[in-house]
Amino acid sequence: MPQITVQEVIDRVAALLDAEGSEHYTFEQDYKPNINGVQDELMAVISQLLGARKFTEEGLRELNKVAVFQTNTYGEIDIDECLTQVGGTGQLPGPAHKLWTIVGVYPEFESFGSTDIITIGIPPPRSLMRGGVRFIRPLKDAKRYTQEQHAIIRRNVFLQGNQTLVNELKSYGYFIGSEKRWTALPSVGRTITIFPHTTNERTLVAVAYLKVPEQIDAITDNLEWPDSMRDLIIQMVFRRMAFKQGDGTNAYGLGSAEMGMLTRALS
Amino acid sequence: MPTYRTITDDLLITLKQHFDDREITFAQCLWWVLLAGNRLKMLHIAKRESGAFMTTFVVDTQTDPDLNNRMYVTLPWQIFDMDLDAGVDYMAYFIPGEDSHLTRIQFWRTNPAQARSQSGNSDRAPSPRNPHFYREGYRLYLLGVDADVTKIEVGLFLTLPDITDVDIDEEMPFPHELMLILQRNVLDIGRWMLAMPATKLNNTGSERNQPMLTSDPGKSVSINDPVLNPDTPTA
Repeated sequence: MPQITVQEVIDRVAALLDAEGSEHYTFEQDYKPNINGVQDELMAVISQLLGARKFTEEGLRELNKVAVFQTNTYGEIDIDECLTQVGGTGQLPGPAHKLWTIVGVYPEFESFGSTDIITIGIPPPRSLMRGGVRFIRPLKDAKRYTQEQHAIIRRNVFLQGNQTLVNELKSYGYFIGSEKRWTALPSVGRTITIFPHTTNERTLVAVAYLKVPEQIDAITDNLEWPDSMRDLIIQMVFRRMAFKQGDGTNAYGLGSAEMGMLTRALS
Repeated sequence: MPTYRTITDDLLITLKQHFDDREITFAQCLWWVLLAGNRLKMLHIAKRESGAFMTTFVVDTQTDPDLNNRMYVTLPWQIFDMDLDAGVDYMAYFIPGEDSHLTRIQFWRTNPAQARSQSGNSDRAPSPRNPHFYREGYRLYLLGVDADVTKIEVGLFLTLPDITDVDIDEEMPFPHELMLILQRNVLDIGRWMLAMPATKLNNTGSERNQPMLTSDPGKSVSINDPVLNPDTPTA
């Protein structure tokens, strides 16, 4: 899979700074914190765009993952916990993922691999990732609601996710809940609640999500952003490096203008 | 005939409601189809002498001990509430041991007051050869029928199913020629819904100072518009 290498970003930013071959800027003190800072800044900007439906998750395909999870007996997936437990039997290989946002929830889907519900050794409140099941395509999606809306839609047959309609008219909803505070089990982070849910029943649900991009640590690392973001990232790193010039010189102004143009193109 | 799913999907696409965060759900659009469909279908049945939408059932007779074991049959499905109980097209049975065809003896429709006055007239009183029925909700009470009759044949004009019962992949029993009017009815409801400025309201619904409609809801409709009057010939 083509990826943006850190070395490429450094080379092109150095070229913009006219610092090729110079030791004025170092990886540890300049490039690394600025590249990681740009990743954080991009997440903040794109989160806003996603919220305003001005940017699609397809534009972040390197960060867009889909996996199959088994709910607990309350119809919940402890998504934060599931994404950090990897490498075990039935789980995905590492490294662990940190959740950025949920892209889609599919309570009905086509898959490959055993879809038998695992109950042995799994306490009722525990959900788990089912690495042995490969998601193929969605059959029914779930609509995203707020925590308050869940109570409103439960008995309303005209809202997606109600518990009245069945068979072909059955529809689904979900909300991303806050951390469940409970003394019986340690904290598990954020939870996705899918409904309608049959009491004491565990089901398989496919979840498409965006992972938080990995922070870079070495000059040999790769950035997990798609190729289409390459020039934007380079311009943003360049702009941050230009801060060091401190006085609004041409380098800072040019970098800002370039980045602004690219951001506007995205939105 | 198209299925409920085909009709509803077409309307959702026409209303541009075929994306994931659509405002009009499939169930709601289907509900509108059922609402408009029932009205148009009833007008069609009342207007046209046809068996196209009549359905025949053979139902078991029952007795109500609280009503001196009065015999009745239960409607197997909801029927149109038409004038003079015309939702029941016919009721018939045969006398065990004498006839062998269920439609041999036809029932006459009556009501409790008429039945009481007829019971004193030997020529008109209900009898096994001159049975009557009257309707009370989901029951059709049988007058003049002997206790050994166990089955009755009924021809009914059924409503469309309720949203909790409908099989969306079944054909919708609805006249083809009225399909265009059905579409127009549903599209009008959808337009009104989409014109409601829900996004301008707070969570509490308190922000009511905005006009209720942000776009033109359409001009007033003539009473001769096919939407209101299916008898109006369309161009």
